[in-house]
Amino acid sequence: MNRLTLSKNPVLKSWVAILCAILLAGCAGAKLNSDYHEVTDKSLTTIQQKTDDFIETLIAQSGTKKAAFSKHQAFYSDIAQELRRLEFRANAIPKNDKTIDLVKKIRLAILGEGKCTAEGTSLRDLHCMSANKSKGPSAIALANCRLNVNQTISAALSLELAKKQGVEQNK
Amino acid sequence: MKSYWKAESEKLAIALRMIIEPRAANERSKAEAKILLNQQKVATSAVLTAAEGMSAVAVQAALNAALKVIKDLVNSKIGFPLL
Repeated sequence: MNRLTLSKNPVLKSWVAILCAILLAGCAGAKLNSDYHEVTDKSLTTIQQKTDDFIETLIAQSGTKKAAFSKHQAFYSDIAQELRRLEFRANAIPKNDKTIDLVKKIRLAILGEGKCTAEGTSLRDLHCMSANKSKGPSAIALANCRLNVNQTISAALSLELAKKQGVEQNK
Repeated sequence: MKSYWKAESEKLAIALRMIIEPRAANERSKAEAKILLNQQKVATSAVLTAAEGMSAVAVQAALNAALKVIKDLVNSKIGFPLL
């Protein structure tokens, strides 16, 4: 009986190779991640700039009644709104898990869960804790906080820019 | 990726030092130091998440580049754009 084996049949070998190539090429454009999203990039930049400006103002006011938590509610409301919009858009993009996770972390670093205690994780917790509520956190604590917030936002921005470079490489 | 991780590790070390030193000198309350440390944990975890995401982006770019080579090869052998 004339059995078809790959090693003995060069024609069959070529066809199998072509078939494998077709199957592999069918995966071309395979997506492990979402593409770069310009609106996410802009939104992250806006949140970073607003937070940075706010911390700068708070550093200048630190130790005075101007730095009281009650006088800066507008900033926290504004950032909460920006974050909600960003979360909504990020959730609508397929395969965007890492960015969604990073936006959650930005929320944790800026707004936290409103604990206002040592269990807190955010700029707002630092500002609303009982010792800092009336005159704001110390300038050195705010400088430290700015570093943490900027690093968290910059992680999300770096990922967006990496996606942009990845898309450009595949053009 | 490597340079990103190196730069971010340095920033994390600076931030940690900024938390520890004032606390050791009693210039910062325990609660403040704890919040800043918790916040730094969030930042560290964000850096790790971004690094994971960047690896996936690099894998995707390499995979797509390799598949493009196969596609070009098949199309050139066949003589028309099949794929």
